[in-house]
Order: sequence, then structure tokens, then C-alpha cells
Amino acid sequence: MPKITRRRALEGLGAAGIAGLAGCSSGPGGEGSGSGGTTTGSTGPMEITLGLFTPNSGAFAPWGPSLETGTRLAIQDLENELDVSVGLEVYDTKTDPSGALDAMKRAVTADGIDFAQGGINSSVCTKIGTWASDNNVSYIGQGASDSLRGEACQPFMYMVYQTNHMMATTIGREMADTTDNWYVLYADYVWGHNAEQVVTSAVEENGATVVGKDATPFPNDDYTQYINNVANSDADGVALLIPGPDASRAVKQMRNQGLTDITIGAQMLEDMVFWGLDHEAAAMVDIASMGWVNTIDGVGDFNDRVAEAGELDPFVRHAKSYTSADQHVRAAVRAGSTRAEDIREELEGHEVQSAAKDIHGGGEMYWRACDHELVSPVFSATAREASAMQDDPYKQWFDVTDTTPGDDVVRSCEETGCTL
Amino acid sequence: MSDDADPRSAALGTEGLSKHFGGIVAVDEVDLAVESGELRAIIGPNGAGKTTLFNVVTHALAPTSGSVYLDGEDVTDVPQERRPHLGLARSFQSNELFAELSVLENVRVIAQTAADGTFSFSLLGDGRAVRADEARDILARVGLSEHAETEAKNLSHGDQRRLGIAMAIATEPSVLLLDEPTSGMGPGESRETVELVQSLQDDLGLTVLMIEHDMEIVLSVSDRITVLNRGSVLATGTPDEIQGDDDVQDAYLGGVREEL
Amino acid sequence: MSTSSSRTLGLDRLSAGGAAVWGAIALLLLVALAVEPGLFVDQFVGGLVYGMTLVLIALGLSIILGLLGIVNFAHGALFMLGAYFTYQLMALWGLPFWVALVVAPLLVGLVGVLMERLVLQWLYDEPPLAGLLAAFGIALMIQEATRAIWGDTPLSVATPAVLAQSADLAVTTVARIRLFSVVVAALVVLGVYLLIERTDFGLSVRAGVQDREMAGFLGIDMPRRFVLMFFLGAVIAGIGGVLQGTAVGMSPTMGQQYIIITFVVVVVGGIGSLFGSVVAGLLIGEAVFLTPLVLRSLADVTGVGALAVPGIGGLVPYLVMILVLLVRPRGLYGQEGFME
Ligand SMILES: Nc1ncnc2c1ncn2[C@@H]1O[C@H](COP(=O)(O)OP(=O)(O)OP(=O)(O)O)[C@@H](O)[C@H]1O
Ligand SMILES: [Mg+2]
Repeated sequence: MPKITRRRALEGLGAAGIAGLAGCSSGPGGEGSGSGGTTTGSTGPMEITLGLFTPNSGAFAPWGPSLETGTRLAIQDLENELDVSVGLEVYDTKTDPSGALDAMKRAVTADGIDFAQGGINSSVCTKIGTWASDNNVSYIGQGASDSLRGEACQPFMYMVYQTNHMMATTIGREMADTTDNWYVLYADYVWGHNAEQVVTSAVEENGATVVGKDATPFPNDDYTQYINNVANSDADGVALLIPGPDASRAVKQMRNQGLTDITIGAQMLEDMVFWGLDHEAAAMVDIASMGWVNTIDGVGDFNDRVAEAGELDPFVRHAKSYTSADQHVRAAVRAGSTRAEDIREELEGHEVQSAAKDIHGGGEMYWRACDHELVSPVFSATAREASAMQDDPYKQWFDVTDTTPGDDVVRSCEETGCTL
Repeated sequence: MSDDADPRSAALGTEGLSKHFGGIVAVDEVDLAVESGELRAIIGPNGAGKTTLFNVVTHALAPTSGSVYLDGEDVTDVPQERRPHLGLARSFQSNELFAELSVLENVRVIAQTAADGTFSFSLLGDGRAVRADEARDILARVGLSEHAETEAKNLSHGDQRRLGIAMAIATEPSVLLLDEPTSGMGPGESRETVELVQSLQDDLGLTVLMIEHDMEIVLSVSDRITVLNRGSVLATGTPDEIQGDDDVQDAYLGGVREEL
Repeated sequence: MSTSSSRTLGLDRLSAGGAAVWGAIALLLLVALAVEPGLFVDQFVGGLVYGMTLVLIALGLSIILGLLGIVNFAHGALFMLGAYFTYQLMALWGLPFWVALVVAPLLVGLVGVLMERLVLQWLYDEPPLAGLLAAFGIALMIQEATRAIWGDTPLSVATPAVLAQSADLAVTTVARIRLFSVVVAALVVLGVYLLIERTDFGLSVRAGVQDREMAGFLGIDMPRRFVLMFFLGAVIAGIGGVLQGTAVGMSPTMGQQYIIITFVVVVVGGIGSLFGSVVAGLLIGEAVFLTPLVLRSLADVTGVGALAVPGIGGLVPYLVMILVLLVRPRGLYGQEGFME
């Protein structure tokens, strides 16, 4: 077993990985088995208990299982590669942030977790991340909201998901490149309003025009009146800055209403929410910005392992959960400690060299010290033709058309408003 | 003095019919034999047990003991909701009706239930639904035709009492029990109502038992009168016999004879 | 004693103030029509279609509330089941939409009957809160069972080919599936009206609703009628679920989401008034679709950009409810108000 994993690790690392391995024996920036010495030397493998916060009820419940699957795969790889033993405790973030907070308190005070990760919506991330930081517990979340690396940033809180701003800037550029007149539908809450501003300015900076826009209620399942607005405008493209399931409903309704010629752009699309649609409807998405998609080059056997291990086909949350656990545990091993201060020292400025980088296509990924963002590439994708969509052994509906380096679209440290 | 006829061959008969409420004996060993086509008045002071007698006859309350016969058939144990099909109907002392249905609908719903037309779905045509014609006939008989579409709760008190009678005859009964049909009416209206009862009885060949407080009406329209006192039958007889009965005089009628 | 009737419109009682309000609304609509005629027509038709969808969902709730006095909180769950049964029949068993349209509502009706026989029938004589809580519990059970069986991820079925395109109505185009829903909803409303108002069965049910005890004395078999009405209410919820599920898709939260707007419709229409539910559904549908347009036109005409409140659409049903209840606490055509 260790042999196989060793080989897999080597395969996965590739050229960049070899450099990383070389570094692991000496430099603090490297990753690997060597530097966990403080615990391994005396008492056998380093023991870590990881608390995972995942939505198993409420509006985000469909995402829940993927967080656990991704985390377990990472733990498997880590235990095979490093001299470490990782215990996993899973907590339900419930439907509201205060439920998640209760779980976090219990995890830390009663169950004694060493550090925490998970949480996919910004209100939950903010709540549990703030408490964790106040209590010197390291926490890696998956919220996309800019405030998490802005006014709400915390000394011991980190985010692995590309920000709303990065995604919106990417899709805004793509949109301007694709066609000239855009109609923007955005969800009527902070996330949507932010995205609308970023997309509009990106579209206009790149020479195209936003001819109309509507804030749509959330959640909402009848998009007819907004589709009417689009159809009555001069737009030849419509941008959906709407959370996943609602975006998929909107697409389906556009198709039913006969609005099939228009170019559809979707911001921060998670393909999983489109899998409920029929192929023809999903195929209408022309351009999308994505945090990860299972057709990235270099993803290796990650897709197959996810498909075997979990109930959900591989999508962005698997990759982000894998990355969270991978980075968290490696930092602790390097530091030889799970103290929040020590992990912070390891993570800030660290460049990812592990398999987490490979499944993201091998582009540069690093932990920015000023706001604790894992700066990662943003993927542009398009839906396949209905006939080319793969369903077995797992769904592959979107193809990558472009990869934008994270540094090209991430806000500068000054713009974030975070002062770490 | 009592009913001479055999309760088991009368249109409506009771034998030893009693109803106890705990210690209270509301109806005490009552024997009745009301002949077909008769108009029988039931009189007695307040609390004598008149309404309770109707309740046990119709099985709204189960009798404590005794039997009820309809046309010689023992119907003591036939439950309340089957009574309409036996040809036994009653009106209530208080106005019991479906306040928010129209007058016509109040009669129709009873007529259709008695006809067991519970699942007919007649959607078209002038009649709207089965028994609508019969219902209109009945309204015409009791003089409520012009109020057919009025909601029952908007009728005058007197019209509501008449609607009660209409609803009772909508089941096409052979025996009709009326609990104070004239209560709350002025003298003129009372007289009209009693005449209505008499004409219904003649036209439909009904046997009628009527609880009534107005002695003038009772003495003028009844074929026979049963006087209840403390639950038991004090006397039964023609108006003349009752007026001449000393027991009744003592116990109940007081100075009526002198007045007459 | 109240002299109002569920059959009178109640509009005659509106004061001069009321007339002024109607006048102002008419004026605003005219402004919108003048500024964007094409879009106005689109939105008007869209509002009608959406309103009829609301009517279809609200109707079953209204029947059960009005006739049985039970606030059937599980109505949303029954609606959701209609959608998931459609998924089961179409996506998993490969049956055509038309089969699902008939079979799924009947299955939902069966679930409704079980609910009534096993639980709710024992609560008719209890305070309304008991029925509400029981129904709420059933709703949660159905929702969790749905999660367990079909999962959390939103699902959808392919819209049948004939209904998948848009219909050209000359003035506007509408998704055919929506138009089909309107036709079905209209037929259901008509059918329910005929059943309740024009049949002997309906008459006996109405009688029983007013005085169950007396109806029982008169020989009307009320328990059987209540089961049938519950079946009917559930079937209608199921039909709504099939159509909504086909047009939009299904998720385990759709019931929760819709039960609220459905209550708004019933309350605005007036508890106990089927006709009120129909009017309220259409009113709210139109308000949701036309309010943003009216505000935007007004902002155009007056130059006051702030009038075009972004995202007002989601609030409109509740604004309508507040306005209506302020003027008529019993709702448009209700007998006894929720709020009186
Ligand atoms: N359901 C009941 N439970 C207990 N006692 C009852 C009940 N119904 C009647 N009674 C009692 O039985 C007695 C007879 O009452 P009933 O109503 O039959 O008298 P009535 O002759 O109809 O009087 P009225 O002329 O006032 O209508 C009364 O003492 C009454 O209190
Ligand atoms: Mg009495």
C-alpha cells in the first residue's frame, strides 16, 4: 500500500513536485514527510484530529457529502505519504450559522479537535471562523465571499475557494470577448450585488455594454418575468449571477420559453447543480467561471476515486475539501505542531506543491499572507453538446476553455480591506 | 284516562318509554298510541319532559327503557341517522338549520339525503340537482318560495320556524314531530303556522305530534291531547275530555276552564 | 350576526378612498403600458400564468382549510410529493409525462387519505392548533422521507417534447408547459366549483361544514365526505406538483418554499372562500410581474431613479397581503378573518 501511494505521489507531483520533494528535506517552504520530526521522533506518528463542518441539512445539504468524501481522500493520501494519523470528526452546520457555531464550540471544547475546516456559505464561515480564531484554532473554509478575505478576515482563518471577485472578473472578461450587449440577472443579496458590480465593470472595461439588469429574489423558481425583460431588451447575452440551483432553473425556463439563441454566461458555476437538468437544457450554458471542474488536465485518478468513494460525482467541493485537508495537515506536519500560530507561520506565503496542485491543473497556487486567500487559477468552461456529455462512470458536462492565473484576477492586498 | 289503542298497531306507539338523566326521571313509563292521520298535541309545564320524549322517540337520545313502534315495527334501536328513512321526522324547538345555505339548499340537502341520492352529480339543467323540484314544491307549500335563494340566517324568526317544518317534511315522513312550531311568534303568525300544519297534514296524510304551549291553539286543532307532568302521562283524550279532567285541572290547567 | 356573504364581491363597500386607490393603480399601469407596451403585455400574460400556478397550489389548501377547518401545513409537502412522484415515474421508470400527470396526483391523493385517516380525523374537534401542529409534523416527515429516497440534490425531468417549446400568442411568447398549466388550473378550478356548488355531493359537504353534528343527525355520512374532500385537496396539490416539477424541477425544499406563498394567497383571498383564492392568486401573480415594470416606468418618466427598487419582485406578495389585510382584515372574500 505505501508503495503504490508513493508512486502515485511521485506521478502526481510531476516536474514541479520533484522540486518540492527536494525542498522538503531542508527548506521550510517544502512539503513532505521529513519535517514533522518533533512528534515522529519520540512517540510514533503525529496524531491530528480534524473537525469537518459540513451542511447536512438546510439549503446547502446537497453539498454535504462531497466535503466529507474530499476530506477522507486527502486523509488517505496523507497517512500513506506522511508519518501522521488523522482522525476525522464531522459536524453538521445546520441551516443557520448559530447552529454551526454551537457545533464548533462543542468540537473544540468537548471533542478537542486540533483544527477545523469546511463551511461553504459565507455566513457560516464567518461565524465559525471568527470564533475559531478568537480561540486560537486554525480554520480553513470554502466561502467565496469577498468579505471573508476583507473586513471579516481573521488571523487564523483561511479560504480555499476562489473569491467572488475573481470569478466575476473572469466571467466579465469572457463575456466581453464573446458578445457585445449583455443583460445581467443577479441574486438580490450581498453576494449577487457584489458580483453584479464586478461583472459590469469588467464587461465595460473590456469594451462591451450592459444594456439592462435585474435583481432576482433568492430563492426563486419562476424566472419568467426576468426572461421577459431580457427578451425585450437589445441584449444578445445574459449573465446569470445567481446561486446554482436557481441558475439551472433559469436556464431551463429560458429554453422552455424559446430563448435559445442567446448567449448564456454563468458566474461561479458548480456543475453539480446542473446535473439535475436534462442534457439539452444544460447544454445552453456557453461560458462559465468555475473554481474547479472534473475535466481539468492533470486531475489524474482523483475523479475515479471520488466516484468510487462518494455519493456525488466529482465536482468543485471535492477538490476544495481535498485541498483544505491536504494543506492543513501538511502545514501541521511541517510545523510539528497544530497550534494556530505555528500553522499560520507555515501557511502564510506557502506555495502549494502537493497533489492538490495537480488536481487544479498544475497552475500556481499559494497562500497569500495579507488576506489568507489560497490564490488559485480560475477556470473558464463551456457546456458540452448534449450528445457529448458523459454520464458514466461520473458526469462530465463542462470543458475547460481557458485558465486564468489567480494573480491576474485577485484583488490587491490593499483593495481587500483586510489587515493581517 | 289513556290511549286505548295498542301501541304496536298505531302509527306511532311507545310502551313503557323512560329516560333517566342520573337521578332525574325526565320521561317516565310513557305509553302512547297515536293513530294514523291524527294530530296529537303534547302539553305540559316547562320541564315536564316533552322535548326529551321527542328525543327518545327519534333516538337522538337512547331511551333508558321501553320501546318505540312505527306502524307496528319495533324501531327502538334504529339509530338517529336512519330515522329519516323510516318516515319519522322532526323539527326542533330552537331553529336548527344550515345558516349559510340558501333556503332552497336547506330543504334540498335533506330531501336528497332522505332519497339517498348522496352521490348523484347532476350538473346541468334547470333543476340543478336531484330533488330540486320536490324542494321547490315544499317551499311553495310552506310559503317560502320567494325566499328560496335567501341565506337561511337572513330569514325572519317566523320564516326560520317554517323552514324547520319544510326541512322536516322534506324527508317525506309519515309521522312528523313538531317541537313548539309557534314559539316566538305573535298570535296572528301562530295561527297561520298552525293552519299550515293542518293543511300539510291533510295534503300529505301525516300523523303529527306537536308540542305546543298555546292552549287556545291546542284545544282548537288537536284530535287528541296528551298531558305530561314530571315525565309521566297525566291524561290523554280529546280536547273536551282534557278540559273536563279534574286531575289535569288540578295539576296543570289551573283556571283555564273558567276563562273559557 | 354578520350580514356579509361569501358570494358578494365586497367591492361595493369600498369607500371613496378605495376608489382613489384603484384609480391610482390604473393610472400607474397606464404609465407602464405607455412606456414599454411590448414588455407590459409580456409581463401581464406572465403574471396571469404565474397567478394560475399559485391558484392551483392554493386551491387544495383553501378547500381543506375552508371545509375541514384544518390548516394543512402538509399541503406544501403533498405538492412536493407530486413533483417527486413525477420524477420517479418519468425519470426512473421511463413513463411518459401524460401517465405521470394522472398517476402522480392519484398517489398523492392516497397519501392525503392516509394522513386524514391516520391522524387528522381525530383532530377535527380539537383546537385548530392541534391540527396545524400535526400537519406540520407530517410535512417534516414527508420532507425527510423525500430526502432519504430521492436525495438532496435538486432534480428535474425533461419537459415532454410538445410542451418543451414556446407558444406564440401573437402578442407574446409563453413556455407551452406554463400555458398547459394554466389550462389545467382553470379546469381544476371549474371542476371544483361545479362539484362544490352544483352537485348534491357538494351541497351535502357544505351543509356538513356548517354543522357537522346536525348533518350527521340528518343522515349525511360526513366522515366519508371529509375523506373524499381531503383526497381531492391532495390530488389538486399533486397536480400542481406534477406541473411545477415538469416546468421548473424539484427539490426537497420546494414544499416549504411554496407553502408560505400559498398561505399568503389564501389569506389575501379570505379564509374559506375558494373564489377568493382564485382572485388572490391572480392578483398576486399580476402584482409580482407588473410592480417592477411599473416602478421602472415611473422612474423613467419622473427621472427619479430610486423608484426602480431592485429586487422588489420577491417582496410583492407580502406587500399585497399587508395592504389587503389593512383594508379588509378578513381578506378579499373571507367570512371570518385570520386577524379579527
Ligand atoms: N340532556 C340532558 N341532561 C340532563 N338533564 C336533561 C337533559 N335534557 C333534559 N333534561 C332534564 O329533563 C327534564 C325535562 O326536560 P325537557 O327539555 O324534556 O322539558 P320540556 O317539557 O321540553 O320543557 P320546555 O317546555 O321548557 O321545553 C328537565 O328537568 C331537564 O332539565
Ligand atoms: Mg322542550
